[in-house]
Amino acid sequence: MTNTQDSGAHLAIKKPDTMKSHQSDIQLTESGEIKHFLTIEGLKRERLVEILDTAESFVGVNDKAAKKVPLLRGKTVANLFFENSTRTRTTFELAAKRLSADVLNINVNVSAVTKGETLLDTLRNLQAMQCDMFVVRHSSSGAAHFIASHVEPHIGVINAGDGQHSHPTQAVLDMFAIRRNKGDFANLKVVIVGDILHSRVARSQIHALNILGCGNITAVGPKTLLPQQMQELGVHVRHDLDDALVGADVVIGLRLQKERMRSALLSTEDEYYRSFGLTERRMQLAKPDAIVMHPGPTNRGVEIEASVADGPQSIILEQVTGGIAVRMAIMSITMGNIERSLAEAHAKPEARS
Amino acid sequence: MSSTSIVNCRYFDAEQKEVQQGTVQYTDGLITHVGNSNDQPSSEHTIDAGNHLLLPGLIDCYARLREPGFEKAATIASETLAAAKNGITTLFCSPDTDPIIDEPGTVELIKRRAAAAIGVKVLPIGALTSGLAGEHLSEMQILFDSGCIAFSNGDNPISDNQVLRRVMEYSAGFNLHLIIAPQDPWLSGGVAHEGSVSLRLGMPGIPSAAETVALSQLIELCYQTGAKVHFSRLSTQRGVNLVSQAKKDNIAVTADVGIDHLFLTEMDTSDFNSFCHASPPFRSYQDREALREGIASGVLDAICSNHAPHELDAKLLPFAESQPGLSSLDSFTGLLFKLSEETDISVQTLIERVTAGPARCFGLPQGKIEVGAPADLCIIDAESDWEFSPDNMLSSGKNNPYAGWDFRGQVELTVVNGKTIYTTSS
Repeated sequence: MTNTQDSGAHLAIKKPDTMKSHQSDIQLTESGEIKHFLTIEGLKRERLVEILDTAESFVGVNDKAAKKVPLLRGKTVANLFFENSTRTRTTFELAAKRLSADVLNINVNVSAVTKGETLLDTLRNLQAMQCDMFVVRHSSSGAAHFIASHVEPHIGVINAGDGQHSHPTQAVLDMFAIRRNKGDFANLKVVIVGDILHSRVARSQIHALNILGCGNITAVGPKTLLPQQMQELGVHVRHDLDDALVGADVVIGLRLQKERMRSALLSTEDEYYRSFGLTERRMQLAKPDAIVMHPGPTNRGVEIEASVADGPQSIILEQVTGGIAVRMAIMSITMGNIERSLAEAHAKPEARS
Repeated sequence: MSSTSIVNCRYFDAEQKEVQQGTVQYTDGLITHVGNSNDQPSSEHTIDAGNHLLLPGLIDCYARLREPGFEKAATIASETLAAAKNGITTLFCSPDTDPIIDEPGTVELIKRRAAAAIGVKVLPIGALTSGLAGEHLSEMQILFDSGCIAFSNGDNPISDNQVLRRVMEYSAGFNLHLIIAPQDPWLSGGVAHEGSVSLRLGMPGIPSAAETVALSQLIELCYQTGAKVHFSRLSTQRGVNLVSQAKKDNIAVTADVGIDHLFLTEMDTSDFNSFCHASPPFRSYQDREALREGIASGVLDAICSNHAPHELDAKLLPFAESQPGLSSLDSFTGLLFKLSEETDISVQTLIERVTAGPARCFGLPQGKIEVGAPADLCIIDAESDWEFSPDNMLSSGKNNPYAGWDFRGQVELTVVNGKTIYTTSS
């Protein structure tokens, strides 16, 4: 009776019991435009392309001597970092300033939370200071969703990394770098190697590559860091890097956290490097014009050989530069959409009831 | 001698056959007559059930009431009110209070608070180990004498198998009941079911093996020690299979499932809804179907509320940082009857799993409509449709995800030991 396979067969479900309170998609306006940038998952292709195209237009701004446009003039952007970061916070700060916004950097680790203030209290205080946008990094998956679902409607939330869930701006800047180097995504083979299980960057990259129509996405890593079920994200799951690299156009390395050794997910750095390190020798298996990417900061000699990170195929620094234009694009697009949707709601108040 | 007759009711008799137009009389707290309306005895009071269902009062064999110690979240008074509104007349309360239920003074306090409240029978579950620390035996015999119905380590699994074996042996010697939620402490460090949703959302997962590894060990220890163990709050298909096999092997085990696990799955956590952060986690659709199947077949003897009221601040956090658990008492009966709509499980079977089923597991005299049984009863209008709203919850914990769900079946009257403790008619 309790046999495994067909146990549900005679318990017919008469109707689906989805939760009625389920919010449809909190990152979109009623007309389907991006107001918060929380995750890549579920975005339409044209939205991603819009961001990439807009970022392209900002590249010129960043090359000029006077690197400013007035798109966010008078706006206040709060960088809310509950987790340490230098690179991401700095590029967000630069991006906001180049859009003429005022920027508040709040390192929440050492301020409110240690005094017992809750996350919601912190948010309400910043709202009271009339901030217009929160750029959030937090160690909990879903934190950016949580914040976006509790802010006032005029505030935009940009996810700068939440737990192991999502790092959407990083993924877009990676797509930006790939598009600039390789053009169309359809015929590309992209190999992502490393700790996929714990990587918000990899999850966002996989969603973005799928949405942009990438022909072959292969994830490589030891089984402890890459469960077979990850294939449900739309990625080939492989455990042999040499095999996977054959014919690759784009090779993305991921940062390996040292704590993975302590929690019995890996043996030693040395063995990891032997099995999954991006070495010059291995890179010869990929296509000759393959590019090498990494979200940084790199662990040289652990996941990548120094000569590969600094070599001619590496576009790691180009990723960083493009990151500013991409974040400018995301900030200006979301802020514009919020203002437009508020104006529309204001213009026809009867439609809201 | 004060007697009351409930006339014009439908009920299920000892053979689970539905009796129409029945009359049930109770006198001084005990049922004194059960039959159809033709041979109606004379009573001082008469309640017309309007041809609605008369059930034995429901028995909830696992709920957290938070008192003593966590009265900001809930109290015995507030939670038993919610129980009474759902027809629950007997409720086991968990030992994870402050102080922990590991000495008779705490049991006495709970009994007094319950007696001063609406009148639901609150049966404390004693701590299995002192301080729930998993190291030293609690004074089970003394706690039993002071009124503990069973013993449990709550949500704290005992990690030392030698200690586990000893508590099982010790309790078996006194013929005491244990309630154990099978959970391997090393495998259950995550916050959500390890599966496609947790992998997609990047949430630390709790594999099904967290339950089945613990369950396998426990079943072997039951076999060795002869302990009477009730496995509480199962969540996996393979867990149901293990219990089924243990029963076939004549090992004295029983089991239950929390009501919410018969409805919610990992999909309900896919928008990071912290109200669906539960322990054990909501698992796959396949697991949920197996749990429903277990209720249908009787491998699972009982459905409990697994009630876990929280202050809202404990839930207004990112998913992983929120406290696990749902405030389940207010939606208990609504979900129970919804289950009869959504599945082929009969109303009789479902009622059995919340009355005679748990009564049998723990040797309780209540849970049936029979002459001589305690007059713990409730009347339910099984056709009444209503929409669940957190605004109407009586539990202090508003952490409940069913806002807007359509339920059918409303309790109209709840009677404990012959005394009406809840009624919708004025």
